[in-house]
Amino acid sequence: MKRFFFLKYTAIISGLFSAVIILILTINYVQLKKVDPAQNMVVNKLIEKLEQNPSDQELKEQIRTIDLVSRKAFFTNRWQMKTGGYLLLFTCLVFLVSLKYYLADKKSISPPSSDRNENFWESRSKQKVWLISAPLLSLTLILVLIYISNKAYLQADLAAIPEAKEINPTDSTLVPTPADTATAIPNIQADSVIQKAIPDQKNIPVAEKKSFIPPTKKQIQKNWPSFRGPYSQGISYGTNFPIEWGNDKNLKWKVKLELPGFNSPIVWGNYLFVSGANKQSMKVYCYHALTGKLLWEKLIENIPGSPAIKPKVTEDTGLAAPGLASNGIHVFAIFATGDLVCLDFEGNQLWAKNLGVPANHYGHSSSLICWENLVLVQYDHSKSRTLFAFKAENGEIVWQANRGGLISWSSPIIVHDQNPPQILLNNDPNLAAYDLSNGKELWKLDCLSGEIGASPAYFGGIAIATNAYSKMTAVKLSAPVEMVWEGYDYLPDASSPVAWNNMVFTASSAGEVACFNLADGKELWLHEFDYGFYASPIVAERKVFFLDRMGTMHIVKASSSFELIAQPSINEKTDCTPAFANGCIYIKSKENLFCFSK
Amino acid sequence: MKNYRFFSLVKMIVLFALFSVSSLYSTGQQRFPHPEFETNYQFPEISSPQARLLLYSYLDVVVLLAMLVLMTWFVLKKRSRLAVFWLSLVAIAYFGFWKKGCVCSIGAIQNVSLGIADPAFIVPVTTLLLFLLPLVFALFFGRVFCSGVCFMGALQDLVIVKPQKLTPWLNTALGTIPYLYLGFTILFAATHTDFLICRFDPFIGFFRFSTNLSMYIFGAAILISGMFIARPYCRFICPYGVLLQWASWLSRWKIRITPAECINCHLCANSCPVDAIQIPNPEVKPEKAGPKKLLIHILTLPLIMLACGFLFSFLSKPLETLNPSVELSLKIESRQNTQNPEKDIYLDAFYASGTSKDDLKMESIRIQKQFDIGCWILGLFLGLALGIGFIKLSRVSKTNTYIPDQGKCVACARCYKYCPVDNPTLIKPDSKLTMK
Repeated sequence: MKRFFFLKYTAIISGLFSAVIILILTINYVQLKKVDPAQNMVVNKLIEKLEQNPSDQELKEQIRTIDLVSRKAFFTNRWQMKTGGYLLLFTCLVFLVSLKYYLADKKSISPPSSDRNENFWESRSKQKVWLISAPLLSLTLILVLIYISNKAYLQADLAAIPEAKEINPTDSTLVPTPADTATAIPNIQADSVIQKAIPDQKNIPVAEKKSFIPPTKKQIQKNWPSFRGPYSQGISYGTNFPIEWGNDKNLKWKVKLELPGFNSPIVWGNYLFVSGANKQSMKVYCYHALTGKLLWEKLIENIPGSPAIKPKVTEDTGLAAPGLASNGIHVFAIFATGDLVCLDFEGNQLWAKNLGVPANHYGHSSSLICWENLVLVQYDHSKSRTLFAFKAENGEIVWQANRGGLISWSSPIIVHDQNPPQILLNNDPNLAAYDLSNGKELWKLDCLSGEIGASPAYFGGIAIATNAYSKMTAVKLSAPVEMVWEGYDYLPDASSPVAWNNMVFTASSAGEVACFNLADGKELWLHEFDYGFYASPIVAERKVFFLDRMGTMHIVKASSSFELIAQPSINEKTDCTPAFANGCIYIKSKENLFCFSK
Repeated sequence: MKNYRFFSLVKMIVLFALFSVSSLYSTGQQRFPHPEFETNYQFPEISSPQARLLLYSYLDVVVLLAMLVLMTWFVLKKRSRLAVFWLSLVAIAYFGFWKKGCVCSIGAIQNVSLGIADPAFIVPVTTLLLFLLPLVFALFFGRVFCSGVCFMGALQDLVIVKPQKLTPWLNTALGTIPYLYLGFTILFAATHTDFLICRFDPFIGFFRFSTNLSMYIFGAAILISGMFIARPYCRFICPYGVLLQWASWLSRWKIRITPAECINCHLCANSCPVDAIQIPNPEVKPEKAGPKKLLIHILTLPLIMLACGFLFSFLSKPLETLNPSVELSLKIESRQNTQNPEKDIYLDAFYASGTSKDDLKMESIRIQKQFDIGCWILGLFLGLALGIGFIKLSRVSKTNTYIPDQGKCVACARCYKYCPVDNPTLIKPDSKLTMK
């Protein structure tokens, strides 16, 4: 009997105690929500104030102090929750064990009710009533809940929405209207898209916004759609480029750049695009390619997942090193934050996404490239190496290839004349090719090592992969894919090689410029200049344009013997690869953007 | 008796250790951003967990199959409640804590439904097996899956303290919920609207150490009520239970209370915690108007189905507003007539995605049509269930012995120990019970 009472009262007391703890924990939970440091109004207001005066040390200290107190309160509350939880565990255990034993003592086998057959049919009738009533009650409850939660939309009639017309995938309506976008992108101020005076509107061929048809090979070759031009191969198909220039000669225009960026300019029609970024902001600029007037600039901000603090990058890489890319309708830019953005030719943001902040000790620098309706991103960083193919219209991932190897800083090139068309990428230790239609790895060759900055080169069925302190390898792309030759001299570092007409040209950061036979790797000539090269050599009109780091363009005849044609200079430091389009050469120095034409 | 005490003690300790510790860990998942100051401190890289290895998915199927085989042996052959209990603990540990409760056989209903409705959605073969294996076993051996292989059933089984009998009408009323839940689950999954079973899973938070407060409250409420109303989720919510019930009615080897012939000792009458034992009713006489009523119910079955289909067709509009695409489309529509509409992050995300409004509209209209058809099918299905319910309630199946209702019985093996054939010591010499 004593045992019976002991169990009974133990159960009651522990039960009550558990209830009290649950009550306290609930109150604590509510408080915990209130003291969330991220929602601290005082701190948030002070941070806003700090944004107006970022150098106010006193204010910073004040924020730190309040923030610390807030965090301490939060963690104290957490500790209380944890301790209370353990106590609850113990009391619940006591309650249940005592209750179980108490009830077990009382347990006995009871006979069935003697009146079990009485009112059998009455009971069945009652069950039938409930068989109907219960689902009706449940449904009513569900409907009430739906009505409460979706009241506003229940009143709207979807059927009343005009029937959506047959969607043409290239229809302009795929693009949200500027008004939509303005409301969509949070906190975009009206002036973030600055419509500067647009010169000669009549002369500007309006980008074919109405329908998106992937550009033809001819259109691509006519323009300079990405870093190192068409298909990123470093070959220009344009004509009538100047070979002499200076402040008073062939200078069509020159503009001062607002934000720093090591990306190279790209050109489509009369639109020239560059990007720039510093710790405060990231922008894409569009200039009129013939007049140099700023058509618009777009502040890139409020991209979900974009880091509040810009990642640490080295000074010689910066936050805007990757080159932009365009398909004639859209322009794409990527920054060291991992923010990938798609704009139209009027500066409207069509979509944007953060690919995850790249773990990159110098800063992300692989340039973008377009193929048909895709924009391709070589996203090699310490944690993973991925090649993304996003749908140009909406940023949806069409395919992605998870690659092996190590981090790289080189950019992809496209080999369009092979079957299937493929994209080539360099990284340690491979030169690898992927099918552009599905991202399937076609082949790879272990031929690189170290920190890969140089991009591959391609001409006439042979691809070249090289890197400083490694080697240069030529690979035949027709089946069977195999190494043709290897070379070990005059290897480029940041600059990429260019292959053209059975020759390969390289420019090293030590100032060595060399030409090799594409077929067997034999050195054809070598010339040493005073300054090194970061910009990649470009072949145009049977000439090779080598732009050194001091701003001098060494124009050499593209032949098996060295023949210097001219050495015009802008007399400004430059590391960006020039763009060749519209009969103009566009050179971007650290501070200015130049356009030279005859 | 000693065994029983030890058994209870282990049960309680295991259960509440799991329950309470998981609640504590859940609070540890709260995060807030780092302070926005530039310091030399290097924040650790944020990494995403790797996808679960495919090998584990196959392992899940193998474990499920092994446990079903074992449970069948324990329930039908060995007739051991203790063995069922220990296997339940293994199920909780493996399917609950190790596998984090996903994908489970119950939730697989949704994957299968979506796979049938949308050919683009491929149901993994392992998920399909998780869905089918318990049903196949139920078809042969009854609901052995529910007895303890299902970690949700096992968890509820552990908390049973003093199960109370529910009145028949309440049992019937609550028993309609799983049918509704099953219907809505299939409809919502097939229309890409929601995975209801996952969203309203009351126990998953305990196993994953993380869920929202309302689900903790829901889970705790079910477990607390489960102390007195055995297995409330299994009996009155679980949509998979409906399918298992149908399969069990057809089971080849049925669960029996007694290993031999029932001697009608009545000892097991109140032993079933889930009210699944059918009491002998030799005295019950058929209703006078019984055959007529039965005939009416059979003849009106198609009419009931059509009426329910018609009634449910009106649910199409309110239900489709729960679909994210339709909701977004309606939101855009309603905002066009609103001056200075409030900011909406969903719309922001939509516009930022670059998808056109026409695309969204077309998608919404497609979903609307799916709901129109789906609601009719849902109504017909519930009408059929309702009609069959009426027919069952209009006839009396006479039984002279105590037998489990194969549909309701969850094979927990509790009734075995009440059978004097199994346990002759139960009949005391001075027992007042008469043995027929």
